[in-house]
Amino acid sequence: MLDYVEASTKSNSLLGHPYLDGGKGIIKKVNEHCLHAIAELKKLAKAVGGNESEKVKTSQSFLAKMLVLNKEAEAPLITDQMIGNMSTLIIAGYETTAVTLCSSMYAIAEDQTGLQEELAQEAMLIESIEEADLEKFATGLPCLRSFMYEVLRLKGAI
Amino acid sequence: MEKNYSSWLFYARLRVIEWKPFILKWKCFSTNPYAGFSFVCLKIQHLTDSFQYLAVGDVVDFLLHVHHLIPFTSFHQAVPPSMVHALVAFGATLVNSYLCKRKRMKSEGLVESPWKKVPGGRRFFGNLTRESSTFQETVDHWASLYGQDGIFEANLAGKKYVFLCNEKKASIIFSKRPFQVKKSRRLSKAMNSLHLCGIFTAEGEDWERERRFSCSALNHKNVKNYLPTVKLVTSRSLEKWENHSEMGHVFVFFRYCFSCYLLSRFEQFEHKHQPNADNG
Repeated sequence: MLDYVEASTKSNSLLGHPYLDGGKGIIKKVNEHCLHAIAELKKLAKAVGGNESEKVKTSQSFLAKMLVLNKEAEAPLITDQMIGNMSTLIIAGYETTAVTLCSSMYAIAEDQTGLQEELAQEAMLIESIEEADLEKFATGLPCLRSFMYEVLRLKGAI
Repeated sequence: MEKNYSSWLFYARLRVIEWKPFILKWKCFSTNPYAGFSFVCLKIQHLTDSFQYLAVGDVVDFLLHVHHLIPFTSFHQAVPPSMVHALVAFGATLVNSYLCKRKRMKSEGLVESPWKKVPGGRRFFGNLTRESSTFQETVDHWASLYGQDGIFEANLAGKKYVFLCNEKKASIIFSKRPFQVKKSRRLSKAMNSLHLCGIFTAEGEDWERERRFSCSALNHKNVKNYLPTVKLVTSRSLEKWENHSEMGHVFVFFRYCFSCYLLSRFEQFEHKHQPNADNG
């Protein structure tokens, strides 16, 4: 890992610009964050003692869940593999999510058939967004669901 | 500069023999004083890759079609001889690249695919989308030609792609992962070079193992736990949007999506660090 960070730093210094290195600088930063987050989570897990598993399991962090699953596995991933997976999911996940959201906003703004009102009315049927659970979102918004499927079909991020 | 262009020709000759000498030579170039030359070589390589299925006849045919459009005298005045050498070297590279690919196809026993080919292909561009329609519309049109169980092949800028209209048939192919059906090695190489050695590039047993982790972390039960974070970052995003519109500012939604996504992933449990504290 350290070799890689060193190599990335060297390549950056050669080119002298953070965006002309084929994305290595950005990847390096993401990897460093992942490494830091893993260390923090491990430290926290040690601090909470016996309840660490439950605590992490019910946490809202994807990385924490990955760490717990890895700890419980027969053949766990090594740290580099873990970081590689995290970076991959972050970079792949952010781009697809952001592009899909932007495409859907654009489609709603461009529509002339009253789609925006229809979607808003459907969303209003959910009484409290704060209290709504995953099932409610999954089954209670059929129009929005269909709309998102159509956006993914026509303007898919990949 | 003369030495430089002769190197181009040498590079083209080396490609016929083997791939490896080219890499060695390219490394050698990267240390020479001609700045950017290695970069150009790399670009040429990408370009020639896209011509891998292009027949030599196509290139000749194209040149025969366009050569009379350029008056030779004015061409000669406008373009210096060294540039002509470079163009010839480039042409030779294309031809050699094609020959290499053909040789490899023969040695590996590859044959023509049995799928029906989409009609209306153009030279160089293949079946790429026309200006009047989107790619999705084009694919929909092709699918309507071959029916619900159709399998067809299209050439997109020199690359062959097979399209399946039936989900069940597609699932048969996916079920052969990871041992019989493998992903593009080029994509894996590119991602590995950036140290993104994750589930997208893993193959074989590694893929099975890594997939098990990722899928478990994204199963229904675990996604339920992410919901409060999703709600939190969504409400903050909306709040920010409202504030921007009240002030009459432009809200760059795309930029903010990145922050939301990252922080929802990195958020420490117990909300140790406040997510989205200063973004957008």
